Amino acid sequence: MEKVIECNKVTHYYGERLIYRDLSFDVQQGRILGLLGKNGTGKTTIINILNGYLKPKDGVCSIFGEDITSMQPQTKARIGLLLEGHVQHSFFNVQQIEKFYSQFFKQWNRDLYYELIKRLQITQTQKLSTMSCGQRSQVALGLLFAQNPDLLILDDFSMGLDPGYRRLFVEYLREYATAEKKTIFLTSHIIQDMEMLIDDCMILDYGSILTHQPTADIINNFKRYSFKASQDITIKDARLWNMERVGSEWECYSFSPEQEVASLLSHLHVEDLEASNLSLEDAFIGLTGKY
Amino acid sequence: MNFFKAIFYKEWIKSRDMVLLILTMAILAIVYTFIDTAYIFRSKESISIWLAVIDRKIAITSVYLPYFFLVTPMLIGALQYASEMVNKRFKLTLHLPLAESRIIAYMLAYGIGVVLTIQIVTILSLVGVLSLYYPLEFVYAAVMHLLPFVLAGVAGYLFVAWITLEPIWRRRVINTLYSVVALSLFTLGSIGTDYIYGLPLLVVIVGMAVVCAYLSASRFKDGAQN
Repeated sequence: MEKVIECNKVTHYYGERLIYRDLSFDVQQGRILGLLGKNGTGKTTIINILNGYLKPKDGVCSIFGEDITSMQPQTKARIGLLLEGHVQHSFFNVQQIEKFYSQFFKQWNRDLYYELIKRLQITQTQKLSTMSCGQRSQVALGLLFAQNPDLLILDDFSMGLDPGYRRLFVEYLREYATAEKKTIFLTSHIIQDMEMLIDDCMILDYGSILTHQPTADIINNFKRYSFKASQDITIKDARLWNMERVGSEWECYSFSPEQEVASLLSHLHVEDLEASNLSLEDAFIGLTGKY
Repeated sequence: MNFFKAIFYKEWIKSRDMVLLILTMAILAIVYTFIDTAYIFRSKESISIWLAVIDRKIAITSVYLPYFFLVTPMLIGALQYASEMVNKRFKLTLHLPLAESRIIAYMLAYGIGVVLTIQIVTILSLVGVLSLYYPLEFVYAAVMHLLPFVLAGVAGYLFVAWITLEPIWRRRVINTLYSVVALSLFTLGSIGTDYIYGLPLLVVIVGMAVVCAYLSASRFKDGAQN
């Protein structure tokens, strides 16, 4: 399958602060990849690099096989971009913004745009500046659908949306991506929304990638292990994540099966070892830690 | 698909209220100039005015009128580019399927086109009104007096683009200082037609201002940050 996005050994600093070193990943055609990470791990930085709005200090990124630093207009036309906060040109009204963007895209589908707009309690002459964040998100989504891009890059799509609009956004996006075999690269702070949407999950830590694998694999294999111990646990093993005391019990997280974890902890004389399944949000906390 | 028409449409929707406001200001400026010059003729001996205009090539116009030509293009520039910088919307514009250089060129072309249209309409209206009452020499002196400010207005518009599209505040301040110095050169020879000798320099400054506007857009594109 074609690699739509490919980043190779990307290194970036803000001043002296390292954001990533040798970050490499790719996104296959037709996949929805969610980028997760704590604040300041560089999620928006990656989006900016992919859109060519930031030159990394080192490394190369390409989209549809083309270096992002010299992207051709035809390639840009294949990429739909949603900025953080559903930012749009707010001096336009609903009709004007459709008329403006329709001039740039050959496959423009205005029916898709107006289908979404119909669901909103707004008039066609209403200016975007007078709309709520939720209404603007639907206008932005309608414009993306009408553009019919092969790749959508969405930066924090759930920002400022109430649960209803978030759900609407996710449902539309999922249906659109599945039916049309679109590739989506997105970030969000609301991980519950991601769980319903993304095929693959990439979790960033400060400076590197913690994990990049199918979401189903994380949810099925990554578990929380709780147990009792009569002594303080100090164990360093790459297979055990974020060991900490919680009340009278100890907790850690692992991709390893229960038997293997039990064997890893056996010399510490732990008792009542119990494995629990995790939501994607719990898995994220387990991988990155609470703080 | 006519991309220029589309960019023009966007810039027009953005700035049309400002353009209409400036055209209203132009009408008021012409009326004020007429009242002001009529007062000068009434309050001074006509022979001394005639000597000032013909001998010393001093234009008798409202002192405020040149600033109309200088400041209003800056207002258009500020509106056009500041709204792109709010929430970094300029990213959306640069993401349009066109070469970035063409997008900037179209935006600047729209702005300069609107600025020159307003200025030419204002000058022609002024010539029309003044010609009804004053001799040709007087009208000629007034127009020649205003021309460097027309050029200064175009440069001012471009400098505002340079300042506004610059992503780093510290640099914006530096750009502003350079712009003030450069614009002051346009008014040095504003008495009579002395500026004609410095015209090549003024044209070079306008050319440099175009390059500067591109420079800021390019720095924005490359993600320059504080």
